[in-house]
Amino acid sequence: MLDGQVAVVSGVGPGLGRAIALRLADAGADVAIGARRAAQLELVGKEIETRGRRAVTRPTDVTDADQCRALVDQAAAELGRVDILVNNAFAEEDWREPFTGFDPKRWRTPVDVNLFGTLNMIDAAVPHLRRAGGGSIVNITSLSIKTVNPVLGGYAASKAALTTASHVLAKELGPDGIRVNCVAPGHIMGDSLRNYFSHLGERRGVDAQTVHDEIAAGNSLNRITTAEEVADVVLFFASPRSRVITGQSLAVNCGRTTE
Amino acid sequence: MTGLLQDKVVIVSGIGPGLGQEIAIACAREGASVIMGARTEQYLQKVADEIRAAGGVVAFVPTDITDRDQCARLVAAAVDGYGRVDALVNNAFKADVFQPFESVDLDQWRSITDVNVFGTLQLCQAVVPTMKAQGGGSIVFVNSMIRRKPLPLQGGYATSKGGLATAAHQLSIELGPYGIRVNSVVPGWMWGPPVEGYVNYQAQVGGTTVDEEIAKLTRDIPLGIIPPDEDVAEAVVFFASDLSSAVSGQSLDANGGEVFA
Repeated sequence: MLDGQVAVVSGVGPGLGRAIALRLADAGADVAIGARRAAQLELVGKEIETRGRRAVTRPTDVTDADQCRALVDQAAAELGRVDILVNNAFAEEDWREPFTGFDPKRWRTPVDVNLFGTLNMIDAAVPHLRRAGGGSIVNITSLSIKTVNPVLGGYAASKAALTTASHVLAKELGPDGIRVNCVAPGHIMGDSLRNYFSHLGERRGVDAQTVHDEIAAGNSLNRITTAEEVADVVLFFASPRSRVITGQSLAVNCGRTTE
Repeated sequence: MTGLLQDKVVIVSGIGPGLGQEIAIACAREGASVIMGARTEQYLQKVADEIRAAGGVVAFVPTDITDRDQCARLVAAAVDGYGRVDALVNNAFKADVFQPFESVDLDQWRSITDVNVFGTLQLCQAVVPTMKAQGGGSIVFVNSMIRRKPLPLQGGYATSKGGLATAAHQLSIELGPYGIRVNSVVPGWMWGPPVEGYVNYQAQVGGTTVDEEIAKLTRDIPLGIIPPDEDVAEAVVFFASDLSSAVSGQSLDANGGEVFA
């Protein structure tokens, strides 16, 4: 689906970012990946190459516009072009506390990373996407826009702002053939969700499986989404198969919400 | 590469010169065995010939979805012929009578709703036992931008699609535990024979050119084109396929960016 194309993916660690990078590589794209932690990047870079695709890895803090530009420019220089940008890098609050007694620093980190960091990446990529004659930007947003969690207000607000920014950019960049869409996952099966289940279970005096089963029962499909399933949806939006779709958001949560 | 619907069995209702035929053609191209249902047998035959000429697998049953027995026959043809039903694409619809609300005979709206809501739900009901028995499936509704951006004179059609959108949510909740996913594709303006005809007509009665009429529509579309039928069909393929295995209860607008949902 992506033969001959080049993708840039931010926020590639052991979870969703990795699944997206590998899915795009499986579909035929060469992939440049960025994240703050270099060790994980190298591992995923090797996995991309194992699939017969070329990889660029570069440690990147998306809150630094120069680092964003360096990642995207290196992708274009070494892989020849940029057709796809997937913004997966994100941050949650450093500490989870109720809004009352508000310290602006708490909400600033998620907004700096999730909104402004993403916009840094988009700004760096747009000239290359234009040169390629158009392209696709996929922003990873979140279920927490719709079913908000207390004490994660900065995260939810940043993702809502990113959704609206995506609408604006869809309008501004549409005439250049650049599409901008959002994929909104909910719970994603993986180590951090398992840790979260254990944590919740300990607090309530039940085992992690009980917490898992309760969450799954709240989804109409009665199970929890895998990172690979989210990556499949990202692939659709990244690919020319969605060529008439821009400015849209799709929730990927095994039917937790209806929209 | 193998197609996105390799070895799957897909039923498509509402095969005509617009989106319906493009959905059937796309599903066949992606490797599905396609069973088409529509009222006009000659058109079904024409599309079937085209799909077979391209190497696709297809069958058809003349079907009026307002007739419960005919819905059952369409599903039975899929099960008898191919052993299962992986996806049902509900594209059949009745267009509006284009009259203002204050004077329209509401029986006209009722007959639109009979097709667009109850006919569609009847076909869904017919397919549920098969999908349930096989452990899952995908039901796709074709909705309309009219639901998000109402236009005068299309109240009957818009109201029926609003009902259908809520029904899709309801079905996703009730059928999810069986592994059945339910989603909607929401097209806006689509470039194909029906809208081509509309644009030609508008130019004729308005004394304008076809290009001017197209420009009136694309002015509000960021991608600058009227999305072609075959491109909108890709969104249907996506929901029918395993690429959307974790997506249910959702809708996806394929409108070139005219409306954001």
